[in-house]
Amino acid sequence: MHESVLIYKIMDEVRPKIPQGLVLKKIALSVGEYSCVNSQSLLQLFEIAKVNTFAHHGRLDITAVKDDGDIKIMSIEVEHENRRKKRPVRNRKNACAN
Amino acid sequence: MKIDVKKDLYETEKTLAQINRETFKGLQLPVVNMIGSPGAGKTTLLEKTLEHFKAQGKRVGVIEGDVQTSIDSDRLSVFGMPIGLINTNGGCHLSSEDVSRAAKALPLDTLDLLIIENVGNLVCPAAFDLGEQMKIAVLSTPEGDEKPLKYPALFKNAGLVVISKCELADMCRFDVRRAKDNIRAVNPDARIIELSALDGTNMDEYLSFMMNLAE
Repeated sequence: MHESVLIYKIMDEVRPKIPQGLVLKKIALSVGEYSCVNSQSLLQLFEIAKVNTFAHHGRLDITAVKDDGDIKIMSIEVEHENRRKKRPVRNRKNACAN
Repeated sequence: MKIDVKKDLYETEKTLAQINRETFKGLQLPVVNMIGSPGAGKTTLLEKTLEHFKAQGKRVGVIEGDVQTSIDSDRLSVFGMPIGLINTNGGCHLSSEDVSRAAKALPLDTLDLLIIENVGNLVCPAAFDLGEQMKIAVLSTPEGDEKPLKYPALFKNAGLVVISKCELADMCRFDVRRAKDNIRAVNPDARIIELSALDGTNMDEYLSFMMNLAE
């Protein structure tokens, strides 16, 4: 329950902060260890909620914070849409070799 | 490009909790938020509290949080004190908005003490400030003496920890000394009262504590 409400709060908060012509790349979220939120649920819900929205190509990056109960959006990363499209596809063979 | 946001997602709830706190402070009304597992004995403690306060000519208001039913508020209604019931319908904790709404329906200016009985749960209620002056954690002996270490968020912020059902400690292999050590490991300053609402052990100490809050 908390998680689904939080996902909509995150979307509402982030949407107006994205400059025109840019797209969302990442949301950095800090989750306090004493909060009653399941980070895995947040990630799963975000993947569902972002479809066909401004966040479609974005990812949620969660950092656990010790001795804290807060949940904060620390920062977002944005990029030009055309730049994102030009990004080369990762070479699987090389990735394995590394 | 990185954009700093630093937005607390519970900012609205915290602001409302602060408004609640200022409202209570303006009325010089002490408010406690009682938190514990389902079956820990919170409502029984409240019955004893209301009974005692009534005998002393004091008025206690109660905001009773439950997932479903009015069973607990019905139990408390026999004392003739003002009670606001909140059924969260699945919600696992009370919010500052719930408390604000329920408090508005109570005659706060006639009360000596307001007790919020949170939904039975050791996790979520501990994470939300309601605007109370103090949290009271209720740990019953059948739950086990290790709970303060497993659920530190509640115990580290409690001004008072009640160890309830102490008449069952031996039967439940609950080591009171170990429980106290575990509480102090997460909160060295907490006041701890082990009691039995059933046989009356240390109830005087608990009731004095509550009366002092109200004076």
